[in-house]
Amino acid sequence: MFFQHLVNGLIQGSLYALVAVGLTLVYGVLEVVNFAHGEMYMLAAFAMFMAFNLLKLPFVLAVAFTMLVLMALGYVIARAAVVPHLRRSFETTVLATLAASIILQNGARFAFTATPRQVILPLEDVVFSVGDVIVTGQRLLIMVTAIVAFAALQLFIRKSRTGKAMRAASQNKDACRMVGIDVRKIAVHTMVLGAALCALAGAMVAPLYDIFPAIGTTVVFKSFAVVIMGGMGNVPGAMLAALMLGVGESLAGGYLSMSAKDALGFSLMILVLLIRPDGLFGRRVRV
Amino acid sequence: MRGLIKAVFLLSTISLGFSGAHAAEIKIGFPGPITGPVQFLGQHMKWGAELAIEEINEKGGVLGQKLSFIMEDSKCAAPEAVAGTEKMLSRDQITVIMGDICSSATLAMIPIVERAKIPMLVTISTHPGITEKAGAGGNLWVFRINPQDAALASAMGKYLAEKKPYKEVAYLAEDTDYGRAGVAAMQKELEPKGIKTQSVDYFKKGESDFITFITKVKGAGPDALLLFMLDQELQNFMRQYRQFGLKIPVTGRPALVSALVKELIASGAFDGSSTIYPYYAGYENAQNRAFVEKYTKKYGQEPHYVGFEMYEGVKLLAEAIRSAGSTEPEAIREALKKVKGQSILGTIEFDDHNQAHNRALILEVKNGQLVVVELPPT
Repeated sequence: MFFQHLVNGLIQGSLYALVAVGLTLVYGVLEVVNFAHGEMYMLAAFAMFMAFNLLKLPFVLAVAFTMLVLMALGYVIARAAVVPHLRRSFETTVLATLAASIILQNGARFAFTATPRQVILPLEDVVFSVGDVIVTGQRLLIMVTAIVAFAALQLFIRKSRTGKAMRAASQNKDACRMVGIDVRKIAVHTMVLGAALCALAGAMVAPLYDIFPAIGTTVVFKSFAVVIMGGMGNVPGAMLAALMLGVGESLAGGYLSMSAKDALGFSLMILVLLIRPDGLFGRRVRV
Repeated sequence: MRGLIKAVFLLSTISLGFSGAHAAEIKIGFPGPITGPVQFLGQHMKWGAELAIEEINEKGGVLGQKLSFIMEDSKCAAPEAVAGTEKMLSRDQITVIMGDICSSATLAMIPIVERAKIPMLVTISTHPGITEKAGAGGNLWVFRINPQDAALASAMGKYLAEKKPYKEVAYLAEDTDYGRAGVAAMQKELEPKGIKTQSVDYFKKGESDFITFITKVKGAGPDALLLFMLDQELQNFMRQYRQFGLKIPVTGRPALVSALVKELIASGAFDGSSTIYPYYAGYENAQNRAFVEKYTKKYGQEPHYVGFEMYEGVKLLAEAIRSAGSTEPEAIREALKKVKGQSILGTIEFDDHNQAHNRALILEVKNGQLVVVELPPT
């Protein structure tokens, strides 16, 4: 059963990574902790539900729809809760994004009610097996999506003009302003990019579990642990930390107990903070 | 001057309006989950209570007064339930209060209710501690209509030992007072009957991923999985169970009665699984059919167990207040002790520990359908 646990863990880790990378990216570039990130994930799952179950779009189009909706939402949150507070103190953005999170979660409860929804995809019941190890199509797709998304993200950050500007902003905002990079614009771009990654996570995971307005909370707490372990703002660090957490949880759950699994993430986080306060892979700027 | 007269006039009508409304209402308070991981159940609890109140008020209310229902968000957590209870006691002047769904929250409410000296009716929490502390020689104010863990475990334990060939079982329960007390009661019942415990796992409330557990039992191969799981977690569990092609029957207290898992049961992957529950919407009798029809028409979903319990609870409270002939807390308490409430499943009567012993249902999945196999007393 060891290999099954390993594969389960890698897939769970890919999911954590998809959510955590958006969070760490926003922190790395803007030094803003986006508390509404979990709600963006939740709304992505609901957008997927609407596109696939209500509008009856084919899967690929439904994912595209979800990404568009979330990018628009990322833009609105950036304009309303992040950009106006960039020059203010740290707590201001914490409060602003926390407010956005509360409004979005309760708004979703109002609009969709608390009744859990499901997105049923044919891929869910497609089972691949190698020896004893079983993977469902949907879970495999999460891993593939995560790999493709990270490759694309790295390419974007390294090669594109906006990506370079984002890296510059993460290093020195004042210098950016001097050479004519509009930091507010970069802030909006970063938030939209983070939202798009979140949309991918929400859309891919929606068919796995039930969807209701509180699903963002648990996911985002795990993501905070991942972001801290990987080094706040360190994108590859967050990816690696996410995979480690996924595999660690899976093994702890399999060989110890399910409660050990939940304790692991935060115990690891505390341990990392004690030994390497800047995270396993060093802090910031490595976007 | 004219403005002043107007203002005084306005103020007096407002205050008259308020006191008028206050005198004509009997308020039932309820701290329950509006947000948090079990908000879906909180929604059904509110629906059940409001349906009962609507029916009672249509017939003229109780003692010439209308009933009203106040719900404060408890998130199913003890601190919030306590805060909500205090708030409703001091701000809303409630006449009676109903217990929360989660045992941990209900247990935390008990000392406050005892201090405030108002009757509390528990309708859903199953922790044995709630009635151990109530009635003769204990807390006089707490009553419970639903069966408690030990009673359900002993009925189910008897059934499993007699009808099923299980020798070794794995437990999976939510990490709360409900889950832990449920596992303890079931183990106490099954182990003397020769059904051994292979492993016990607890999961965090709101967990959606059970793959690690499924992988583990796939390797270990117990004869049955004893689950203590509510609707949403069970739905996720059952989907993953089916994908991983597990063949081990589930039993214990899984919420197989939930509308959320209907399709999964119909798929046939769970034939041979069983559960014990205090209510099932598919139970066939005329009263239940009428209730299900009304509820479904109003809310677009069939009644959940928690909606049913709240519905019956409110009806019972109304009957007790009616027979007490007053809204004095002590009169209501004494009336509750003597009440013989009509329930869809039987009669509700309280014992010395203020615990009712209505019937429960043992259900089994046969050919993709949930069938009532026994109606044991609790």
